[in-house]
Amino acid sequence: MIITLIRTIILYMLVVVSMRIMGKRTIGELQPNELVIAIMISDLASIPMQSTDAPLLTGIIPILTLIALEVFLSYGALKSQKFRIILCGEPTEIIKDGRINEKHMQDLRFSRSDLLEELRQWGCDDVKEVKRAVLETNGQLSVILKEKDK
Amino acid sequence: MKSLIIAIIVFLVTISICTASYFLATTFADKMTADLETIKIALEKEDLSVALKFSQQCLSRIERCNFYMAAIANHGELGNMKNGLIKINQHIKDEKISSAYLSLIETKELFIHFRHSEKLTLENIF
Repeated sequence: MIITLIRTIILYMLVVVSMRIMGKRTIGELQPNELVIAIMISDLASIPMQSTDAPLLTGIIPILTLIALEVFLSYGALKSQKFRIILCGEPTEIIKDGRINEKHMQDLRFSRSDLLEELRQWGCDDVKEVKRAVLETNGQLSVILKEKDK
Repeated sequence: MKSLIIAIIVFLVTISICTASYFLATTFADKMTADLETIKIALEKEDLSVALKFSQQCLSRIERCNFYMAAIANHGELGNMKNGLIKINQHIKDEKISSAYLSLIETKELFIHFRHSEKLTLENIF
C-alpha cells in the first residue's frame, strides 16, 4: 500500500508540473488538442497509480511525451497561421446583422435552441438584436450586440 | 520560449530513457536466452556441472539486474522469469534432468516473449 501512496505522490507531482509547463491556456478554455492532452494525461497517470505491477515508467514516458508534443504544437500554432487552423480550426460566424447563417449552423451541428440559450447568457432575447455572433475555436460563443442595444 | 526549451529537454530525456531501456532490455534478454540455450545443450549431454554453473550465472544476473529490469518490465513477468530460473537451478542440483529441461523450455519462452515484446516492429506498434 505504501508503494501506491508513493507512486500517487510522484504521478500527482508530474501531472501538476506538466500542467505548469503547458501553460495557463490549458487550465482555462481548452482548444481541441488541449482537451485531448488533458484527458489522456489524467488517464495515463491513473494506470500505474493503481497497478503496482506495471513499471512507473510506463506512465511517466507517455506523459512526458505528451507534454513535449503539446508545447511543440502550440509553439507551431503560434508561429504559423495555417498550422493553427489545422490544429484548432477557425471561428465560425453564426449570426450576421441579425440573420442566422443556417449553413454554418448545420455544419457545426449547432441547434437553434443551443444558440438561443447562448444568446440569453449574453442578455439577448432576439436574434435581430445581434450584430455578430461567432462560435470560437474553444466552443464559446462571442456575441456583439447592435449599437442601440449595448 | 522558456517552456519550449523545457519541452525540448523533456523530449530528449524521454527519448534517451526509451533508447537506454530498449538496449538494456534486449541485451538482458539476449544474454539470458543464450545462457539458457547453453544449459539446454548441457542437459542434453547430461553435463550437470556446466548446466549448474550457467543456471547460477543466470540467477546471479537476474538478481544483479533486478533494479533496472523492474523499471522496464512488468513486475509479474519478471517474477515469473526469476521463479523459472530458481526451479531450473533446484532441479539441476537434485539431478532431475527431465524436470530441469521442462522448466528450462518454459523459462526460455518467457525471455523470448519478453524480447519480442520489446522489439521495434510494426506488429508491436499496432
